[in-house]
Amino acid sequence: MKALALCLFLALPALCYDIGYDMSLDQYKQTRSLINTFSFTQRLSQSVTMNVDAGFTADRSDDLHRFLESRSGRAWISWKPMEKIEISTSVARQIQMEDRFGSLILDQTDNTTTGDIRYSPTSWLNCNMSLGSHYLDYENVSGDSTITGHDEGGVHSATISFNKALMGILSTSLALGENRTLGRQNDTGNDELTARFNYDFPEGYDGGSVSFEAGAARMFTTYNDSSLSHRQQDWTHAVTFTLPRLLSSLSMQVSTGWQWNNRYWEDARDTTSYGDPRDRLERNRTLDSSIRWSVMDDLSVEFGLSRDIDRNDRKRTAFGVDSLFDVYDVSDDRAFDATVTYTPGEARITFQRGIELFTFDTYGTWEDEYGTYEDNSDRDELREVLTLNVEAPASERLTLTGSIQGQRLDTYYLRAEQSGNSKTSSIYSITPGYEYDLGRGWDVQHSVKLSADYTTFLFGESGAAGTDLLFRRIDSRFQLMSMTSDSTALGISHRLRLQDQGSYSDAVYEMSEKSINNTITLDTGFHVGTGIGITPSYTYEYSRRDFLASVAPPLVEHLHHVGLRTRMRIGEGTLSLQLRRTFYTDDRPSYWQAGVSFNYLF
Amino acid sequence: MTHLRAIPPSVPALGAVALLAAAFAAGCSMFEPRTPEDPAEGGSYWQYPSAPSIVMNNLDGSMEARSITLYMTAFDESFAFLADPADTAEFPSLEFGSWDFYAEQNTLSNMFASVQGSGAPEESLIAVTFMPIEGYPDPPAPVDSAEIWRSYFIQIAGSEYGSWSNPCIGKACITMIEDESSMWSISVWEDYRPDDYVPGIYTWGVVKAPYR
Repeated sequence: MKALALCLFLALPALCYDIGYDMSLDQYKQTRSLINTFSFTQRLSQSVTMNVDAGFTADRSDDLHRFLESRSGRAWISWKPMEKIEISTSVARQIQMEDRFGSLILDQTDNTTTGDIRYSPTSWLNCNMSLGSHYLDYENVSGDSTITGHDEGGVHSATISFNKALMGILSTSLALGENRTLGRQNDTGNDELTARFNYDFPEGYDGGSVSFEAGAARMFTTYNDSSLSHRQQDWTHAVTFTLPRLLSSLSMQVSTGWQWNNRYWEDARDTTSYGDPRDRLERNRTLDSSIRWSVMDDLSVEFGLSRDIDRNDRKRTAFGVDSLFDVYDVSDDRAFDATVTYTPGEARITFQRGIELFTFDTYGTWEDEYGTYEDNSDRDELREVLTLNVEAPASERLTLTGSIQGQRLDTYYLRAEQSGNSKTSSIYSITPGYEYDLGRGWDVQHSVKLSADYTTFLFGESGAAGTDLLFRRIDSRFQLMSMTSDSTALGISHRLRLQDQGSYSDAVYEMSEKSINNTITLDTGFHVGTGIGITPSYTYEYSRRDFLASVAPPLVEHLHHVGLRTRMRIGEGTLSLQLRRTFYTDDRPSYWQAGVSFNYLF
Repeated sequence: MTHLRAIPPSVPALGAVALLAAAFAAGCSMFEPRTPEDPAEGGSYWQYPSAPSIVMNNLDGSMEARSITLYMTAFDESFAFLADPADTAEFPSLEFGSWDFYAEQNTLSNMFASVQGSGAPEESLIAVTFMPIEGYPDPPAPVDSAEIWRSYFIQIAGSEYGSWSNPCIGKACITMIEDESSMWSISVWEDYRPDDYVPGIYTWGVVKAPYR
């Protein structure tokens, strides 16, 4: 940190500099967090630039008796002796600490110094090389024991990127990277290679293109002081085919992708070749297609069809058994969406139809001395949605809004052990509303959402099935408000939520529970000067939940929320502040919810 | 008044749309779910998880009944178990990292299979009690997600760290989420040592980690 302070001190007398500062402080009940970031850039000459970045974060949870602290800093000087070469040197430090119950349990410091060279012989080729060393000190405290340690080693990385249009029609991008952090205790690193090609069809086939992307990555962590090492390998490729425009109003696209991801642990002492329970092999295939057609100026249609198949292979243990068992699951997600949008004049009407089937199948068994087991969570989920949204101006000031939605969700557990939970949920909702412009910045908004969820169990006669259920909900939102561009608000808003639920069978509804949540907010914002707005607010909240089917007493809460919001411009910076304190009417202690943020750019 | 300007129909464009519609109509079977098997015999204490408190009841009941199927219905697939940092420091030989939905399923099914071989009476294999924590009441009418606190007292027959004579004690901050069909499930379980912690008392994370 002394190096950072020295760099900063040396930089201050200079005139040509950029400084950025961001700070935010949040508190909710007994948890507080603070984030500070600072950046400084100074151009010492035409070819020499000095930079400093620093950050400080802290998180205190009084109820958990925990304090987390992180400090980081990086300073670097870069020099461009000629146009195509940039040489820089940097020093970085990161400190992490954790206190529990007033005692330090973690203290870790990581220092890294590197020298970097960037070479761009042409506009389409970039080479970066970096070489340095790192030093790590840590201390873990637990009970009576303290584990201290030190690690150090070399750091190096190299990247090459190539971006060029070949023959004027094929844009090509290639990137190759290698990063290593070496040490006495462990080595970590990764290698990456990505390639992208895009070919735009020639004249006469306007709009058509083919793009291809392929990538490979390898990551590793090798523990030199133990026999365990972690490896990861990734392969991806994707192809996107955009058809030439047959009409100026029609576009079609088809794309497919493939991913392969293998994470595994290697134990040099292990001769069983069972692997590790944390090993994962994940494979994914996707296929997407879409058509967008502007039928008329104010009428468009869009279709989408997609399929996403995942296979997840993993190991699992059995208690008392040394060997591991191979199991895997396959999920298949198929979806179709159709959207019709009609925009006559200022109005907008949208109709959506969606259907999605998700299937999940499990494979493999494991056994112990008591028997053989298998996963029985195989299931199918079918979701169908119909939605109509309308936004229609009735006059210059009045806009009517509305939404009608029907949704059905079928969940079928396929195996006998779970099939009793198979059910169908139907959700219907209607949301009428309006917005009225009162003039002089005032407007009224009001909407009421009425919804009902009806759940029936497929095997209702079975003892393993639940009871058919009905939920009814009303959600009303009203707002009379004048809000300026800096979020200073003056007005009143009200939200009322009512819900009841119970069993519903043979057209008989037996309510078992009902709840109400009622919130009224008064905002009294005003300006005290140009660019300075203050909004004091008061909210009364009432919640009640009655358990009609049991002897449990109702849960009731009366809350008073008192708040203050402000936002002001200070030079080139902005200070925003949000404070809210909540009081209970019973003997529970009040709590704060606060947020302060400040950013400044010199 | 807005004038509608019709674009002359194009055979290729209409053909493409017709082709897609035909493909969709013909391929509707690709959205046909399969038929489930008839349910297994036996009653169930499981309740529709329409509130966070019911999820905790289901969790309690499924553990004592040693039903991994019903136990896992209390968890969302995004589930993550976060052990107390003091436990991860004190028990470096136990694996607490990357504890997701599948790790939980694997761990608890091992535990349920293990207790059956402990020789303890049927009613004494697993005992679970979840209790609200004073000062942290459940939100009365939560919407979409809720954070609830519970202290717990769990006994697992034959367990190294949570046996009948030395029950595991701790507290948990449990984040629950509500899905589109109003079912609640556990998304995050943050495990903590009890406020009056003394060495020799172990948390739920320490008890179940050896079964992973």
